[in-house]
Amino acid sequence: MAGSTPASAIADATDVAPVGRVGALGRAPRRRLLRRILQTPAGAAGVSLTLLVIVVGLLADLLAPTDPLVPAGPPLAPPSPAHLMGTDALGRDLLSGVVYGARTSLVVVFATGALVLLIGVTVGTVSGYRGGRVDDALMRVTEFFQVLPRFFLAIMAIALFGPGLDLLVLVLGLTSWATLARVVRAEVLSLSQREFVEAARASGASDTRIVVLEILPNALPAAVVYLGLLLAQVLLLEASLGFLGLGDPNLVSWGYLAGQAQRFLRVAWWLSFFPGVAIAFAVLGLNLLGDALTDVLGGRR
Amino acid sequence: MTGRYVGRRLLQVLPTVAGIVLVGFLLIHLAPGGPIIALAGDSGDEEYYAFMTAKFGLDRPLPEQLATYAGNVLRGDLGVSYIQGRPAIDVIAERLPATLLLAGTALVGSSVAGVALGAWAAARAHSIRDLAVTSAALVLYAAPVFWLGQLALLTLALRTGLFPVQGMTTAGGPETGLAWALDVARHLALPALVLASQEVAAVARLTRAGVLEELAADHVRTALAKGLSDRRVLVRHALRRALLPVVTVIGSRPGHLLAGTIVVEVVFGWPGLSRLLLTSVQTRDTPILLGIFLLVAATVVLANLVTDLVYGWLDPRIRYR
Amino acid sequence: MTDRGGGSAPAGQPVLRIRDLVVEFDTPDGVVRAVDGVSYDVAAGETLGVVGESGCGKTVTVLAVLGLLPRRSARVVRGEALLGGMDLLRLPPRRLRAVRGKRVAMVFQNPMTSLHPALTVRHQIAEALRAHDRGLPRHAARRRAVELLDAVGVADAARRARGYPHQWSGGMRQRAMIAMAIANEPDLLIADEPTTALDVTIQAQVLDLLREVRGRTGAATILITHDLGVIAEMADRVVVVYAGRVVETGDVHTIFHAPRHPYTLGLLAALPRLDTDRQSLAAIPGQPPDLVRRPSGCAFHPRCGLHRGRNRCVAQSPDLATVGPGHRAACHYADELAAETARAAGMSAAEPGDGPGAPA
Repeated sequence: MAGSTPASAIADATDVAPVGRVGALGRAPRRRLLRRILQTPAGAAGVSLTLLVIVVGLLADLLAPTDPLVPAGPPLAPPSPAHLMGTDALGRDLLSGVVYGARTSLVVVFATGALVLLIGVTVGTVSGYRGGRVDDALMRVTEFFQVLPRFFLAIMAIALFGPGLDLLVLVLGLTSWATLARVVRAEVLSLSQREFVEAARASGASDTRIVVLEILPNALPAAVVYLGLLLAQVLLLEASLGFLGLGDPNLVSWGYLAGQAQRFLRVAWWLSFFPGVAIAFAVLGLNLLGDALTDVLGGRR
Repeated sequence: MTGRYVGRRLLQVLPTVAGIVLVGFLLIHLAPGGPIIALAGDSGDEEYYAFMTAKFGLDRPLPEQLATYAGNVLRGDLGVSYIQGRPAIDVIAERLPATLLLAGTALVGSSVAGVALGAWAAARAHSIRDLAVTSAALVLYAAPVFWLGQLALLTLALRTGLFPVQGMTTAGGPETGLAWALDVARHLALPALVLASQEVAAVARLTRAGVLEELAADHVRTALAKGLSDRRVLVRHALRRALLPVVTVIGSRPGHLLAGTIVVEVVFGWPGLSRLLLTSVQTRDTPILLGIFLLVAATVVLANLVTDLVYGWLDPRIRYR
Repeated sequence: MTDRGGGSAPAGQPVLRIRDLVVEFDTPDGVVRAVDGVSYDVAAGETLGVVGESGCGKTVTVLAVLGLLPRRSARVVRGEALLGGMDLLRLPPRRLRAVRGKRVAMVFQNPMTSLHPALTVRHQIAEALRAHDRGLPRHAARRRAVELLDAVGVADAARRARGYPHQWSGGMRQRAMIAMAIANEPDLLIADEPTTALDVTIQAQVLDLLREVRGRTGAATILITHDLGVIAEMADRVVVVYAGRVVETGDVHTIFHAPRHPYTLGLLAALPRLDTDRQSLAAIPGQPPDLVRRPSGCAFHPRCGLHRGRNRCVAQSPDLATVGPGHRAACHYADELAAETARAAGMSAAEPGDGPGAPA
C-alpha cells in the first residue's frame, strides 16, 4: 500500500459518500431481512450455527446414537468410528451427551429468553411510555438489577433451594432482563414522539391500544436483536454453572460434560474438547446473528 | 473533578447497597426451612438456634429483623460458618487474596491489551491485521472460559511443560522473598491469561468500534488538518473519546470477571474462593455464601462508582453538568 | 525547520495551482466521479470563492489536496496540486503532514463538532503550534494560544482558553478554529462553509474576522460556500462548480453582473433579495445530479433553461472557454446568455461587497 498515506488511513473511517443522495439506502422491507442477513458471511454463519443447535436439540432422540447416561462401550475410548467423540470414564458415548446437551441448552435459552423478553419489554415499555416518576423508579430498579452479580446469586439460590432446571431458568431470567429493558425503553421513548403515534393519540385511541398496536410492533425488533447477544451470555453462564456441577443433576448439559472432563484431562482430551466446541459454536452463532441483525436493521453495535 | 459530582455519585450508591442487602435477606427468608436453618444450619443444636434467633432478632417482626440483619451485615458481621465454626468473614478473608491476585492481574492485563489491540486494529480498518484481531476476538468472546483453560492446560502445560499445571506455588518450593514471588508469577501466568482472554476480546471489540466511530468524527479531521501525526491523532484524540464506552464496560464487568475467576480457579487448582464456595454449596454453609455474594456485589458497586469518576475525568461535559 | 519552499508568494503569484484534478469514490451504487477535471489557482492576498450546491465536489477537491480523503473509498485518479513547486498529491505522507496546518490550514464547517470535546481549547491550539515546532515548550505554546485567541477577538481569552469547547458558543468556537488555522501563519487558508452552521448575526462577525485575518497575514484564501451572499461580500474571484466540474470562473464583479453560464444565473436568481419576500425565491428547477448516473453531455442540461431540447447539450460536454477578460464559462450557448444577463443585471440586487480585497 505504498500509494496510500497513513493519515488517510485514519480518515478512512469516515467513508463519507461524496454525494448526499448516493448513500441513501432506505430501510429494507421485512421480507428481505433474512436474505440480507444471509448475504454477509458472518450473518450466514450465525444463522447456520444457530439453526444447527436448534435442529440437533429438537431431534436429539433421533440423532444421538445411544442413551447419554448409559454405558455404551469401553471407558475412556478415544474418538473412533464406533464413538465419534469417544467415551467417558463410565463408557458413555460422548456424542450422545453433546447431542442431548444441545437440547438442555435449547430449553434454558428459550425459557430464559421468554422470561427476559416478558419482563424486559414490560418494564421498558411502561418506563418509556409513562415517563416521569414511574420511569425514574423503574430505571432505578433496572440499574440495580444490572449490578446484581447473577452468577453468585445463582450459586446461592442453588445452594438454598437445590439444583434444578426450573430454578436456574428462574434465576437467570429474573436477573438478565435489565439491559433489554433499557434498550426497549429507549426505543419506546423515541417511538412515542413519532407522528403515527401522535396521530393515533389525536384520534382518541387508548394508551393500551397505542402501545400494543403502534409502539410494540416497532420496538420489538430492537429487543429481539439485543436478545440474541444477551442469550449468548446466558448460555455461557449456564455452562459455567454446569461445569461447577451446579446444573440440573438429571440432565446432560455441555457445561456438566466439560466439568466431568476436568479430572481426566491428562488421559482423555476429547472429553473436554467436544463439549467446549459445542458451547463455543452455539455462543458464536448467537453473537454473529445478533451482530448481523444489528447491522441489517441499521442499529448501533 | 468537582466535589459535587463525586458527592452525587456517592449518594446514588446508597439505594443500590440497600437493595443488595435486601436481596440477601429475602433469599434467607425464602429458603426451605426458613431463616434459622439458613443462618444456623440444620444441626438441630437448640442452644445455637436460640443464640442466632436472638442475634438476628428472628422472633421480632420482619422490618425489625431486616434492620438487625442490615446492621450486622454493614458492620461486617455475616454470621459464623457452621462448618468451620469461625466468623464467615474471616474464612472468606483467608481465601480472598489469591482470588483478587488472579482477578486483578487479568483485569489490568485485559484492559491494557484489549484497548491496545482494538486501537491497533482500528488504525488499519479492514486490513489483514484488523481481520485477524476481529476474528480472534469473536472466537475468544464465544469460548467458555473453562474450555480455554482446559485447552491451555492440554497444550501449554501438559504437552510442553512450560507452565505448572496446578496450584499457586510449587510444593516444597521457596516460601519467601523474590524466589517465592517468581514461583507465584509462573503459576499465575496461565490462569491469568485464560481469564483475561475473554475480557480482552470484549474490550478489543468495543475499543475498535469506538475508535472507528471517532476516527470518522469532525474533530479528528481537524486534528489531521493541523498536521498532527497519525499516532497522536489516534491515541490522544480518537482513543480518548473511544475510551468512554470501554471504561463503562470494563467497570461493569467485575461481576463477570469474578465469576470467570471462580471457574478458572477450578481448572487450575488455584487456591482462591472457588473451593470454599463449592464446599459451602454442598454443605449449605449460608453465611459463607451470603458473605461471598455481598462481597462480590460490593465490588461491583465500587467498580461502577470508580467507572463514573473516570468517566467524568474523560468527559468534561459530564463533570460540569 | 523553517523551510517554507520559497516563503510567502508575492501578491498576485499563485500560491496553489490545482490542475485537472479527478477524484473517484467507490459507493454501494458504483463508482462516483466526485471531482472531474477541476483546475483553479489562488494567489497570495486573494480570496477565491468556490461556490456550488452541496455534493458538487467543492469540498472533496480541497480534502484531496490535503490528503484527507477516506483512503478506502476515495482515490485521486489524476491531477496536480502545486504548492510552490511541489505537487501535494504526490508528496510522501510525512512531508504532506508538514504542509498541513503549517503552509495550508483549514477551517471547517461545523465548529460544534470540529473541536475535540474533552481537550481544552488552549490545548488544541497549542497542539497545532507544537506539531510544527517540536522545540516550542509547552508553556510557550499555551501562551501563544491565548495570544491568538485574543487576536481573533475572544474576550477574556486567558481564562476562557482553559475551558472546554462545550462551554463556548458556536461563534466563539469558530473564532477558536480560525485562531488554530492561523497559528502557524499559513500561506493558504481554506475555509469550508465557515459560517453555515452559525446564527446570522454571528456569521457577519466571523466573515469580518476572516477578512481582517487576510488583511493582516496576506495569506491566500479559498472560501468554499453554497451562499452567493457570502461570496459577494468576501471574494475577489469566483469559481462555480457543478457536478464535479468548474462551469464558470471570473472576477466577482463579472460573475455577478455578467454570468455566462445558466447555472450561475440560476444561483443568482435564487439569492434572497431585500425587496421581495422569501416565498418568491426562484430556485433552480430539478435536483442536483446523481453522479452515479451523470447526465450525458453537459451535466446541467436536464435543469437548464437554455437547453431547449438542443441536441448538442445532450451529446457533447462543453469545455471551459474564454468568454471575456479573465472570464471563462463551460456552456455551448454562453453567447445567448449575454443578452439575457443584460436584462437580468437590472434585477440582481446582490452587489459584490466593498471589502478591502474587492475589485474597484
